[in-house]
Amino acid sequence: MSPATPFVELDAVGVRFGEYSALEDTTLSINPGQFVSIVGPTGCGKSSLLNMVGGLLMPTSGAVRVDGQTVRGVNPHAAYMFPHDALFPWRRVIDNVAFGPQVRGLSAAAARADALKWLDRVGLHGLENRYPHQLSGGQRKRAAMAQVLVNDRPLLLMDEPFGELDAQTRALMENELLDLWSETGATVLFVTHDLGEAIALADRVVLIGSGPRARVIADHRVDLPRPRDIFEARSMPGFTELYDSIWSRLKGEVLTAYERSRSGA
Amino acid sequence: MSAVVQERSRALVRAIQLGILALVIGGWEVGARTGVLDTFFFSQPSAFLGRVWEWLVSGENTMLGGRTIYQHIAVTLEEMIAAFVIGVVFGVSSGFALGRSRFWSRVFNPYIQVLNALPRLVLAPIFVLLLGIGEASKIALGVSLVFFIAFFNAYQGVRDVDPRLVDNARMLGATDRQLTRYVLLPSAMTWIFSSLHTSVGFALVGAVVGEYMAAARGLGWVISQAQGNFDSAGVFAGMTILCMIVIVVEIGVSRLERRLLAWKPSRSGELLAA
Repeated sequence: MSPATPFVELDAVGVRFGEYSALEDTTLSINPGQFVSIVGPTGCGKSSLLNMVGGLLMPTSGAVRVDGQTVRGVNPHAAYMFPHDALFPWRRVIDNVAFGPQVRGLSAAAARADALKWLDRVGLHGLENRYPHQLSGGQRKRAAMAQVLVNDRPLLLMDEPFGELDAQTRALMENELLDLWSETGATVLFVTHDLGEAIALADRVVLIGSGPRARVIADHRVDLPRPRDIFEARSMPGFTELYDSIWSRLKGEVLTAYERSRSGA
Repeated sequence: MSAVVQERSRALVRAIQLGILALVIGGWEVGARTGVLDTFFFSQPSAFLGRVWEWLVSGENTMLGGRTIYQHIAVTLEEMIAAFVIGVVFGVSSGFALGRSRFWSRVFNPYIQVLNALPRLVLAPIFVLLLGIGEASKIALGVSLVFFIAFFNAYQGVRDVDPRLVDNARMLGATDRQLTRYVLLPSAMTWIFSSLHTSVGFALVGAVVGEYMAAARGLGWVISQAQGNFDSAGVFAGMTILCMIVIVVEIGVSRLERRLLAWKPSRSGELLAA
């Protein structure tokens, strides 16, 4: 099943914030084109893990390698979709999406053409001249998705990208993400605390234990057929079994994290 | 429905505003004519508004030192604009530079605090000694006022840039220079624009106060001349013209601001919305 060279490798990675050790001895390797969901209780270091792969955070120990090279500084292979709204409020939607091509050195016209193409793809046709505050929450997410995908990076990092949306909009966005992903063949690391979402989207679900000193405690393959529809995935044979088996493990970690945060408070 | 209500309440607000103005001016005039208010100190509206009319319309240059009122207005506006532009350029660039460097902002911090705490108007005599009674000393006074407003806003603007936007820009491939140009600068600009009203106002204060202290022309000079001749009508007429200029400048700044900050969620700026 696994080709010889993984695209993303975490090699005994640890990260500390002062005295607090968030992640410890975390090892993970991800094949090119794989869609991997990362789940875990609040505060387990999921976002830190993503930040390290993106190069925004340096690991305290161990190494992160992408495409065989150790990540030092911002990772040029990666596109990153943040949990919050990170659109530039002073730029129109089209100029937000054109930002990546623009800083890459494309001419203004070419950058805007690229941006228009992606705005079309994410269903924002006709809204290109709006400012972000003039969009709905769902439209802003679409714009953010276009802004990130326009760069055509082989690695896509997503940190609870749809967390702020209502359930229906979220499912629609997830379906669109799967469509877009199937066209690009990018490797995806998708952080979420919603186990159903994690399974429905991914080829593989990685479970991280509760912090401090969190590490990978389970790694499940998801063998549901593709192309997948989020609305149907949950009723596919095998989904419930997989959900229950991961949840039985996750539940314990969530409770531990909860107890710790209570005793710590 | 609500638009109609809003329209009606707007008309009402306007009517009451005009009513208050009429009441004050009318009361003033009546008070002056009946001898309740001493016209030596308080003049009377018919007298100073008549003077304004003479200056602006009939072209009689009473107490204007041989110039027209428009020449005086032009001098004051010139000083205001020069002070504003120079103050903003220097203030923004140094605020931006210090905002980016924690080290240098620590070095300069005490000096900036002291200079800012100093009431800048006391510098006016020094500027006159240094630069003479021409326009340069007024511009310098205006610059000393505008500089700090622009400086602090630019400094704060760079400091307060949303780190999430910085991360996003870096992940999208921006180099350090592009980060400065496309993220830090626009982010700081919002602070600078939001202080536009204050800095334009201070530029005008610098010009008028400077002229008032020592000058040969300008609106401040007109007012100080009238005062020196116990001509209270001239003082109030000068103040009236100054008010008219302030209103026009305010409207211009509001227009400019609305264009520059078009991307911002609309605020209900009821107090100044003209």
